[in-house]
Amino acid sequence: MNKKAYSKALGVPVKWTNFTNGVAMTDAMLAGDIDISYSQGLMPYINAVKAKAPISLVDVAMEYGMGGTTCVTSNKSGITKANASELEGKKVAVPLGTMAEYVFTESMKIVGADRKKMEIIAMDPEEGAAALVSGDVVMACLFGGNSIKSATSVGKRLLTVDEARAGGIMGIDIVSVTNKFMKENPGMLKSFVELTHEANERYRKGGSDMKAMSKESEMKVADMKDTLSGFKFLTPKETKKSMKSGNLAKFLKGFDTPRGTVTTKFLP
Amino acid sequence: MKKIISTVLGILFAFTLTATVANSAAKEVRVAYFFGMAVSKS
Repeated sequence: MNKKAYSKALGVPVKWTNFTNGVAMTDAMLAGDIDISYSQGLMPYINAVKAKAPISLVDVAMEYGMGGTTCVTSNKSGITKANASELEGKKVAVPLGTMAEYVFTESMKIVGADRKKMEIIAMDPEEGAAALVSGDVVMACLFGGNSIKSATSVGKRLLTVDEARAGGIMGIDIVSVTNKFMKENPGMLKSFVELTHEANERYRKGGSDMKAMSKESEMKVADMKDTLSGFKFLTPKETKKSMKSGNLAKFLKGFDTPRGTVTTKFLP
Repeated sequence: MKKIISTVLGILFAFTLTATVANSAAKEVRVAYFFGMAVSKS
């Protein structure tokens, strides 16, 4: 992340904090510790605004297939989509309230397994991957390149990316902001969104510094490129369409998200 | 007289409003991100 550019554009220091999941981002915004969340999963956001959290959605960070969010069963368990009902009665790791839980729920519908009959253990992706490797769980649902790589070293995706897409499973990460910050600092917020879209444009044109990104994300360049290849960074026009009538709008409607929590007015 | 008081109050109100907006502008922006997924595009 070109952090200096953000500080320069916004005219004040920008403090970046890495979070392990979108639920924690919501908690931090509610506690007054965070103003903007970049790449918050859509499910944590929906759950937050349903609980009347004073936050708003101002941009789409990316849309993605299930390459970056998936459920992996251990080879040792012998469980695949063909005998997925064998997950019932067993321990599975799921980061509850996140996009991975959404993938878990939808995947279970596709493979015909009853999630209510499983012992679901709430774990962050890194913990879930470790539990899969140690054999403490037979399946882990996760997001993030490093966690998925670790999990697939001892298992396989329950559904391939193509199977998940065919089943209608897709993911969206968004940019959310506290209503307080949005009201008091509309100019800074607009600059933030504009700069993010400039970075998206640079990435689309192949002008991003992959080595710097690799270092920052603590991923090998090849792994990072593989993770990024599953993401679609939308143009401002595509973003507006997604928010008003496209994938994002449909997703929000499908989950009965309260109206009035989404605005396109900060888009370039 | 009424007009003078009204004008003075108006000026005071406008000044207070400006001061409030100035004070509420952030001196730092705190951003949360998830790098494992949202690898930035520096």
